[in-house]
Amino acid sequence: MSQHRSVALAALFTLFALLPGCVDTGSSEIVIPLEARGTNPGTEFVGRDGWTIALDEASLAFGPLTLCAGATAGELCDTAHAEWLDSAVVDILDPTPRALGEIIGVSGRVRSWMYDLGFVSTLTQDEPLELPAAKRLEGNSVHLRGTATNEALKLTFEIALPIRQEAATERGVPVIAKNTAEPFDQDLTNTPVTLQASFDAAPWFEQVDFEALAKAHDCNPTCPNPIQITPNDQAYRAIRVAILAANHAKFTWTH
Amino acid sequence: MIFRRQFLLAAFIFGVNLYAAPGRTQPSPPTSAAPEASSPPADAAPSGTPQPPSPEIVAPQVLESVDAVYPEGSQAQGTVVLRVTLNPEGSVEAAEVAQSVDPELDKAALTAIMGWKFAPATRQGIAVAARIQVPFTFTPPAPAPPPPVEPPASPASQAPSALERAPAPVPGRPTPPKPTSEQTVTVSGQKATRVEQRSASDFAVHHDLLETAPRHEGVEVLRSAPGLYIARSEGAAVAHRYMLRGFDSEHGQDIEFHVAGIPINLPSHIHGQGYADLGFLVAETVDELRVTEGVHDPKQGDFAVAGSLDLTLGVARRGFLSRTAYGSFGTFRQLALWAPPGELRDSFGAVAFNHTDGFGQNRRGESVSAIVQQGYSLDHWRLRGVGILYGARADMAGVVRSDDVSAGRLGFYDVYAYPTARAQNAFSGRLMLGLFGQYRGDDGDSAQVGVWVSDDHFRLQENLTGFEQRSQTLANVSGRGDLIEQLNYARSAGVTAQYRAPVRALGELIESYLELGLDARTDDIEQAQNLLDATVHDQTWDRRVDARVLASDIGGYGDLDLHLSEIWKLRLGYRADGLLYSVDDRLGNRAPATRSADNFIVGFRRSAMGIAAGPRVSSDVDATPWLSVHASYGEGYRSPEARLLDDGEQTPFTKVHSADLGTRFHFGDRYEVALSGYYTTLSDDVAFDADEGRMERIGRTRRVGGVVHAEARPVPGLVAAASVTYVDAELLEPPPQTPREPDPPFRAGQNLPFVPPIVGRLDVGYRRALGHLDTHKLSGRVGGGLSVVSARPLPYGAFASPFALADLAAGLGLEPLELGIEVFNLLDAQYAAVEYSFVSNWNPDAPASRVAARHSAAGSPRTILATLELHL
Repeated sequence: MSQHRSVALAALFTLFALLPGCVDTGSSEIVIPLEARGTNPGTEFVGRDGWTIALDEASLAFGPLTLCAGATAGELCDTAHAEWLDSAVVDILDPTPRALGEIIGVSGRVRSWMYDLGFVSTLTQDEPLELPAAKRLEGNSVHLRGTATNEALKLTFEIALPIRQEAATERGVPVIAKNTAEPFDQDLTNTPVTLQASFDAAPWFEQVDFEALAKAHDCNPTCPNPIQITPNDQAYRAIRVAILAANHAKFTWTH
Repeated sequence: MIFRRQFLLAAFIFGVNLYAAPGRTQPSPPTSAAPEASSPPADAAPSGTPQPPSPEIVAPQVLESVDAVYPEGSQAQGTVVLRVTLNPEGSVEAAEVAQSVDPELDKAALTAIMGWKFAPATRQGIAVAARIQVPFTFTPPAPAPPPPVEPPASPASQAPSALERAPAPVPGRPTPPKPTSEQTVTVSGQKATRVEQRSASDFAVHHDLLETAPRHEGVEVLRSAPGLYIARSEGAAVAHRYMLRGFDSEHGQDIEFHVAGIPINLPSHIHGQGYADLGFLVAETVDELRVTEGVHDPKQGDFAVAGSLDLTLGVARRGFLSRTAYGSFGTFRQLALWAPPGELRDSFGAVAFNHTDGFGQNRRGESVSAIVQQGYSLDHWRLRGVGILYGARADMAGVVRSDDVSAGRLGFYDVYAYPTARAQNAFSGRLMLGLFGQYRGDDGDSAQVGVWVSDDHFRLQENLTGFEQRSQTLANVSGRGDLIEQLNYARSAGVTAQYRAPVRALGELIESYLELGLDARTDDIEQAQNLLDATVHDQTWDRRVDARVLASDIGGYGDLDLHLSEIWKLRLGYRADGLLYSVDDRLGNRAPATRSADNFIVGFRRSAMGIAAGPRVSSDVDATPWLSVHASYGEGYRSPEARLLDDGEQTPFTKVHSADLGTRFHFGDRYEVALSGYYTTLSDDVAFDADEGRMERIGRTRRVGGVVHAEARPVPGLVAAASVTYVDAELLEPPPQTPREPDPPFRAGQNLPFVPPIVGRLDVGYRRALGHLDTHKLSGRVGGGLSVVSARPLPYGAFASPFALADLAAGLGLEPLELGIEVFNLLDAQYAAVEYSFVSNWNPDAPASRVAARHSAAGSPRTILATLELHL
């Protein structure tokens, strides 16, 4: 009899212990490796008005990154599916994928992303926080150095620019969010998958007016070496706009 | 032939009337004892062998008597003999069971005797204390013509010295005997005014079980209700969180509570629909807990979704009681209770004061509760007035992120160091007054009427999410700490009335009763919700709610009780409630802070009305004397948070469909087992939203589960009860995606968050007399309770951890003192009273996370209290 009681008791506690495993919560915790790589290994490319551009250095402070469920992120992503809260400097000229860390979140479909470039706006601070990656770039989000040549001139230039949330925009929202036109759709599950962010600096120079830059810096017949592109330059604004609005990271999932 | 179950007969025999002389330690024979009103009476003869009184002695005479009620469902029979102590005023000072038959019959007899009044015994013309024996003879219900009086089963056997029999009494009203020194009087009773247990999921938790495990607070008597788990997650001034058979009822939205006949739930409360704070309860005054799980009784009204809990207040042990408890974490409790001897069991006054320094940071709390209840018997009427006054204030630690605890950044019992976290606290105050009357007619008819008023004030400062909020009132203002202030001031009043009478129209073949009932209440509610900046003297930096709600609920029901055969009872009922709301939403139609509101005036007024109606049906079959089968079905409702209603909304309520099927087994008179399964659907359920600190709609849900409950009283003094409730709770139709919420936290088919699939409870208590030390009675007691809660799902794929809590109590009494010890959370389990999963930011100097994280509010660690009781 006592044996029967013991068996019944054991069965009860086994049921108690196993039952939660049968519970469907609708989602589960996931961890996804995050990689980054560049796409322009020092080759030349052609910019506005036929200028040929070659980069010697292109560094980007990347992160944090947030993956959201909705087709648009930004202000509509108060609750995200997954995120990488760290930051790292990405060498855009190095096509080799490099591990940045792990994206942590819960399973489910993600259809948009948003990220910052080493500076994070918060609800609690008047000024955005400067993260380690931006510190490594001496308080900047991007550092580019290279040469631009045309038939008459050869310019050596350098630009370092911080990209952070402006006072006019809403606090606490990352500076870059996916456009609706950019494809991004993934069902996050426990199946192993890696998210890779690739960056290409070439498009950032598409609207840079090197003629104007040369003129502004008195490059006739010789230019300063290198030209320090400042916020007063059209090139500075063109690169900033390109980074923010038009030429974002490309995200791909690899199994 | 009418199968009227006239049953109860009670006879009392004055067997002995005895007293003790001053200073004497041995009982004295009646003829030689000196009368002394203040002396304790004592037995002078063995129980059941009464001595003829001295000619100088005049026995007590019955002036008023209350019928004992044969317990519904019981099949026990026999004679319960009570040893009753009368004071010189003729009041019943104490009663104890001298000869037991069955716990329920014992209880029925004890309940009845407390309503009796006597002319005191006299010796040589002077009133003296006396002890008498009163046998109550119970016979099981049996179909019989409606004779108003039945002779006692065997009065002679109980009272061989009886001298005469009184005239036949009127049924339902005992006839006081003529003054004689010894006599036998037949007292006729009648069945309960209403059959209470309609389902295998209906339970009555009696006083003996309620006092087994230690109770930190009065509300913890609810732990003994099968399938009910309660947690104190927000400090001493906020209602517990209740979970009952698959419902996370938050602060009461799914459970209809009544205490002493007064409804406790508050509709449209800012902190949760149906908010029910039972902090005012004093455990020592809770006489019985009735649990109706599911919806099948037409009496069940608003918030009866998972079921209803009805607490009866009363004090069996008469006299003055002082109870002091002191122990861990500066916990101090002082109770003063006065239950006037000779008054009805429900007459008492109690004041309880509680203080704690808290088991962690920011957890200090105090509360005071005063309860006064007075009962009167007046001819056919039994009247009762009750008043409850309660106030509490407590600091709150709020929640902590589990990842912060795991990383060692914060202790499990700590609170975040920011002012916005340290400023969390709550205040509550409530006054309730009720007047109730119960009528029992001569022809099996009965009625109840009652009126009540309530005044409730609630204020809370709580921060769950850290620094996540933006002001919706002030442009470009954010991150000042999400310290939500909630204010709710509700003035409520209501009436209740029921009338029940036999139905003759159905002929004599079917015994039947019809009950008609009315419940009506109105609530005038002022409420507000703001965000406060704790760093600037709680400056208000956002306004979220500023509203006045007028809510009324007028409900009526009919209930036809058909006894189709000796073993089959069918009850057909129907209930309808008209729900009316008028909302003055003073912040409605507000423009976002970034837009100008110069071209309109903020505010949105609206009204809604609807009728929630549905059947309540149950069937009981007593298949054998030891087995009964129950089936029930009902449609209930839950009223909405009025501020969420649209203008003119026609169904301002959540519809509930509830079905139960179960059996009860009676093994002898001492063991009972109930098995039941249930199926419940809700048209629109709600779940907790941390951003707003309140409940939000989540869509249609269903629950399937079962309850096993067993109760045993194998030997006198020993009582044990165990229950296990299992549920599979599923979300059927979550709200659709919206641009604002493209990824709702809930998906179709998932298990409901916060609901534990398994809840178990075990109560065991034993008490016995240990003899005498000198002339003082020595007694001991030991009891314990064990609650088990399984892992439960949370939003966003998280799980809350399972836990088990054991409480233990023991006491050693040497009348009039008792010294005891109470240990709560005996195994010192580190557990979360409540767990959530939501987005928070508790580090304002780092990038804010947008992914939901686990948060927990710590449950109390092991707490040891020493208790000292003085009972006079």
